[in-house]
Amino acid sequence: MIRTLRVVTLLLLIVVPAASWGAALDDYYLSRLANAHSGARSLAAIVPGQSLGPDRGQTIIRHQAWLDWQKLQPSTRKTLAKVMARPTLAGERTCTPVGGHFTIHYATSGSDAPDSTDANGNNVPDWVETVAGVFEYVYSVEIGKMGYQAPPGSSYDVYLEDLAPQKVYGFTTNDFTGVTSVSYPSYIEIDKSFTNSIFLPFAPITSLRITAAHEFHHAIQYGYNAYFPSVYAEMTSTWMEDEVYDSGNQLYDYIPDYLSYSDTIAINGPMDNSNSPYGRWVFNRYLAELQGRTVVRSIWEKLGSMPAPSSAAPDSSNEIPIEPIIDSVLKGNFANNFFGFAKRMLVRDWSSHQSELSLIPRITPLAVNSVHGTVTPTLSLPTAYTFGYYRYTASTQDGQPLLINLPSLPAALAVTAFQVDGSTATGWQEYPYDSGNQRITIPVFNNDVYLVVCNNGGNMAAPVVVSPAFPADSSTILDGTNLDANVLTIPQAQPVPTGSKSSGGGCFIATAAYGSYLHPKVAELRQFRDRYLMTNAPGRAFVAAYYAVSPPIAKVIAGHEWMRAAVRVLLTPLVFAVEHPWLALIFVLALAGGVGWRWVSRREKRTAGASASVVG
Amino acid sequence: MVKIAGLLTLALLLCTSALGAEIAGFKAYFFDGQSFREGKGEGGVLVKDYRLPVPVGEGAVREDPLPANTGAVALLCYLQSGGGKLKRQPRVIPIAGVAVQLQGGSISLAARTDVAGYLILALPPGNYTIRLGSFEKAVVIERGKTTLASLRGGKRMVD
Repeated sequence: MIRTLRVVTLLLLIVVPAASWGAALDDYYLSRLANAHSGARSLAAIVPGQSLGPDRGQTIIRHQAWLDWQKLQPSTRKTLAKVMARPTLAGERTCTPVGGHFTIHYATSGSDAPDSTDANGNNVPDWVETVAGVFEYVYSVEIGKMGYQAPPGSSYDVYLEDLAPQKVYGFTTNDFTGVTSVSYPSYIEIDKSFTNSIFLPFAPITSLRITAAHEFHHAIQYGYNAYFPSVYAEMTSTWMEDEVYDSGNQLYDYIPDYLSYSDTIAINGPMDNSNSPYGRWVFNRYLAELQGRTVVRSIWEKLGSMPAPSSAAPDSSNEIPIEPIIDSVLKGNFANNFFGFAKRMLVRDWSSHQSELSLIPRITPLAVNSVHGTVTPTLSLPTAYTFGYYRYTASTQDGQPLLINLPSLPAALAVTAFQVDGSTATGWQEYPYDSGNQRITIPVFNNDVYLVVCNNGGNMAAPVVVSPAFPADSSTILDGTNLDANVLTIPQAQPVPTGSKSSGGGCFIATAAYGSYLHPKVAELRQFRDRYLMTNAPGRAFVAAYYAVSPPIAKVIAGHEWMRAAVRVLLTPLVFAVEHPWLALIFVLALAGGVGWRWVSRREKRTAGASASVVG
Repeated sequence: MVKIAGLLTLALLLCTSALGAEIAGFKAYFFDGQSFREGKGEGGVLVKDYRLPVPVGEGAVREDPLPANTGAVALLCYLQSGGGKLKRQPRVIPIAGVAVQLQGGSISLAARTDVAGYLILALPPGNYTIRLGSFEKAVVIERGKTTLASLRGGKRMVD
């Protein structure tokens, strides 16, 4: 009997942790989503002529599946598609500052809940008020001062979520129904706190500011034309980060992803698998310096005037090409402006954001050659709107000229040369291409010479500034970091109900251990609480005590994976008892019987031993 | 003991090969973000003349015949996506559980996409317009054939 008990105990020690690990989350989502939406069900669900209402319950589960995506098995992820619906947050609250333009949605429990610190005691977490202030400031700059068209809708929705597991700062997604054939409302999701280490080295408030300036411009873009070219959308949103918050400077991190490949990645090329679209923002800075900042706004206004692609068009044509739009706004001068951009990346004669010039990296030349006299390079740059440099160093500094012969220059290429020259304001002297002699002549070749090669259709004209000039906007470049504290009235909110007052609260420790409020095990524990504990006075007292002490403990548990695993193991017998009360009762009785039997048997042995000693 | 292990291995191999085998007569297609391409890929669909198409990943493939004088449409509703400063995000995100309307001839109906973003329908041959909110697409249904269609419900900008 004792051996049996030991074996049972050993088995329990093995089985309980394994069971607590649980693929139950996968099973849960598969049962709730996959079965509910099988292909056969879709066919059966056809209702002629009837419009379908929102599926709120499914929306919640689909959203939770999205949040738990990283915890699911690959096979489960394959079966469950990602869920695209406006998020639904656990215990959702909203904050709509009086006279503001945003509604901030936040969770009051679970992993999406932001820090609940509420120093001013208005029952709205301070971080939520910070988010509201930052977005309102971004609005005041991008809409109020820079003159962009506000996105459709009276109050724009921003959702705070735990996006760190997905390694995402934020999303902006359009709604399915437009206000015109091209203008669409949208909503923003951003990380709830930006405190995760993936956002380092940027402070949480910096990440919030950058993300707000960036994502809100996407919201503006959807309002102009949802068929916008994604690459120019990223170029503009990233550029906007520094126009609103000059000291953020995250955008400089992405320039190398473009400049390292400027000879192969077209400035107007599509989205690729790199961060180059973010890095290409620097072209907008060039345009803004040359033409005035509202040139970028004019490009978006032009996009807003474009029709939606034909519904019969293939999916590859569902974005409006950006090159004709920019060329139209620049009145046919895109090519020479791009050549000017290629030169500025070498000469670095930027006129704005002067204190940050060192953050713009220099381009590595395609080749470096030590030469003397005459060179005849063979140039190949097949992709339109790309550029690169060739560097020539003087093998003999004898003051003789350098002749760069280009007898078979491809028609698509524009070329020019610059020599390092400390006597000029920029530190460079330009030597243009002589089409008559098909060469570039450097009269005195003592310092390094850079040959600039640019594929822009062969337009070698100086960059044309469009006339009449683009109007100035009413914003000077400011760092908004001292200007974005919330100044609007935040309506006082009702206190968040605690679990001791309402049976709708969460089981904090179990939620922390299983990682989701909707985890089936947590749901079972909630059900047990509501059915067996909240229905009697001792049970209610126990629940009240539990809710008084558990939130800080749950917070600690949630932050340590090993603690979560350990608590899952500890909770497993409890969950088993809730799931199978009769089996649990039998097990407890058997265990108690075994212990009792062992106690009796020991006592008998002791008594027998004592008798023997008396006899002896 | 050795015999049992051998039998189990043999059974496992048979099951594995059966699962990996082509379903008789069905061709696999997947959506690459721009068009449907023949071959296996995530979010694919299996197609066979005179049979209802089957989204990949639904478990056992059933050969459900099309009703008389109908063709099929396998419509994928998706969001275009891209970017991601910290991590690349998928380019195609299926839109699950969304209501889609279809009109053509005397038929006007609504249906909901499955978890893979697909809507599978059998319809009389003809020209139809499919709508998801303000987004729409024209499709042609041919008798006994499957029309593969994708409908972009906009896009999601990441970061």
